[in-house]
Amino acid sequence: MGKPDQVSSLFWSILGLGVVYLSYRLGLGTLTHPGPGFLTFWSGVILCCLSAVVFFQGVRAQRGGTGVTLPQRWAGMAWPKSVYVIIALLAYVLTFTYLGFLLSTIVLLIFLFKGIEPETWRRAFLSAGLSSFISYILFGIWLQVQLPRGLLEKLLF
Amino acid sequence: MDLLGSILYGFSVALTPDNLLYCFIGVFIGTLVGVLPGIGPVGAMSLLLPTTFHVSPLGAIIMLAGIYYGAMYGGSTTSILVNIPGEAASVVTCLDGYQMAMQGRAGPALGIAAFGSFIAGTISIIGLMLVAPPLAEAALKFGPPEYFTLMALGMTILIYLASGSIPKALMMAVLGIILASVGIDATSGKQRFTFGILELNDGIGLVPLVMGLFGISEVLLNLEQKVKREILKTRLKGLLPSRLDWRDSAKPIARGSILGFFLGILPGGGALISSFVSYGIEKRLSKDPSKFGKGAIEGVAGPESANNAATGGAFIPLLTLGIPANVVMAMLLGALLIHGLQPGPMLMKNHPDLFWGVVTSMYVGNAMLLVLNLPLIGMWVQVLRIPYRTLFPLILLFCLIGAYAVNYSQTDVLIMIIFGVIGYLMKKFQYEGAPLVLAYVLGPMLEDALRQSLVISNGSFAIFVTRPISAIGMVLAIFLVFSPLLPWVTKKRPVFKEE
Repeated sequence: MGKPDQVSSLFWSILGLGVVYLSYRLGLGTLTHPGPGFLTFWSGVILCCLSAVVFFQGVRAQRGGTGVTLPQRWAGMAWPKSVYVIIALLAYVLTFTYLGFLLSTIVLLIFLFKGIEPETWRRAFLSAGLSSFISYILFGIWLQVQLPRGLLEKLLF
Repeated sequence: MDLLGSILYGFSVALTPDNLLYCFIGVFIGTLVGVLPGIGPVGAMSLLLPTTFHVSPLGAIIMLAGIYYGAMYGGSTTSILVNIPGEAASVVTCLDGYQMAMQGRAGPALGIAAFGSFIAGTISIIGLMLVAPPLAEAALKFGPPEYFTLMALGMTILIYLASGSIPKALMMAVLGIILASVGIDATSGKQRFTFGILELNDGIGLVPLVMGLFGISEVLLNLEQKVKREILKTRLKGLLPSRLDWRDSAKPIARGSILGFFLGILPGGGALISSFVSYGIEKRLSKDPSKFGKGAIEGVAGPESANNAATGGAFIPLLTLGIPANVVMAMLLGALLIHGLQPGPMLMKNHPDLFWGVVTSMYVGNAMLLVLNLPLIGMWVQVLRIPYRTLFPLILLFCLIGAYAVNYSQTDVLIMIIFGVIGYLMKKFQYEGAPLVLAYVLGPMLEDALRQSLVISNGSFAIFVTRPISAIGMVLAIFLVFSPLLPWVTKKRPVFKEE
């Protein structure tokens, strides 16, 4: 409870207002013939109302001295690791159709094995290579998932 | 076809080599994800869902169901040996299971967990066989108002039990309904919340959503924590419980089985709740409650039986009404729909092979699990030794491939990562994912039922309170939503973490 609740409830209320506006534009219809925006309009209204409840619960908790601040939620946590992983995953998504499954996956896994948790280079390369090839055989060949061939495979095959 | 004939027909379907293989793969992966912390049955099911597209619908459901009840077995191993539950429903097993292991009785603890699970699984399957057909028959008389109310009640019970904060859980359910509406509206043909993105016309995929919320976010959270797992260095001997162990465990297993089965049927109920309630009952009925928490075998036998029995019970609302009782069942509903099958009262009539095949395969799967979990326990202990730094890149890789394999779409992978970040933040801000996923899966059916009800009633909401079944469900749902305002209810409200 406390400040994080106030921040999150503000976010949800803005989202709720957006949903209300867009639903209204979609058309609410009538009670006998509800339109495409009917359920989502009322969902948005409820989301806003509940956000207000959570907001005031947060205010009350802070006044009562039981609230925590946002930095306290991340205190003592190795949160940069999570940020690096998210960046690595986004980079993977943006490049894997161009580079192909095998190459991009090997690069991603080397980073995850070596960059996030301490691991020797040899082990990181070996684990990344093996995992990529086994998953390629399992999904790409055995289960016939059409994994992107990309740069490396075009050169090789 | 009479009941016996149906069961025999089910076995003839479940015992074909293909279905036996799918069943084995399912229970094996289920045990694996149960043993390994960091990925639960929901994540594993969403991960494997795309791979089932090449398989028959029956094989797919047999495999996915196997993951669910297999995870219940596997979860107990980590609870007993590491004091970390591999699966949420095994949390309570830590209390006495780990204490037994500390006293050199890891073998009997693992043994009674496996035998109890097998007995409970068997009882719940028999219950499922007996209860499902008449319920499906009765459900044929249900109209849109009854379906709307039952779905609303299911979501409300989950909201009531799933979180410390009811408003937050309710918000997540509302968000689930909004997310479910993304895409082209089937009735009007209008695009809703697609913002011109072509890939969103078919809506947000279930697999990327669930993988993000339950797979990616879990990895991100685990990476932040500096938890060191220490496996108890004890020799595993005497897996077969002694005569005294059996005497102490017989009644808890029987009670856990019956209780778990009925709690599993309840919408919003499930394995987690059953295990907690069973532990509470055993402690209350015990002649010496002080031994609980210090290695009482009843504290392992009861909850482990209850959580397995609940898995069988949870299939009843899904297979007979088409309403998932919990998030895992919501995943199975999604799988059935992807395979072009509509769960509900007609499923048993139109696809008896699927209904009876799945039910009897669960019995076969339970027998497989007994073999997997007792003679092969040493193998699972070795799996436990795999460090998280080796596991997490593989979990992420499987998530990436799984999300991509659904539609061969980069957008789906991106959506999964976005929901991974959302799921991570949700947990940081203490919002739960379970109500969101259940509402997301039920959303389209809920909207259809609401629209149809209003058309039938000429725009009158009274239709929800003038029909008896609908009225009872509605009163219960409203009571649960507003119960936090009643202090005497708030004090007694059980709170469970998400499944």
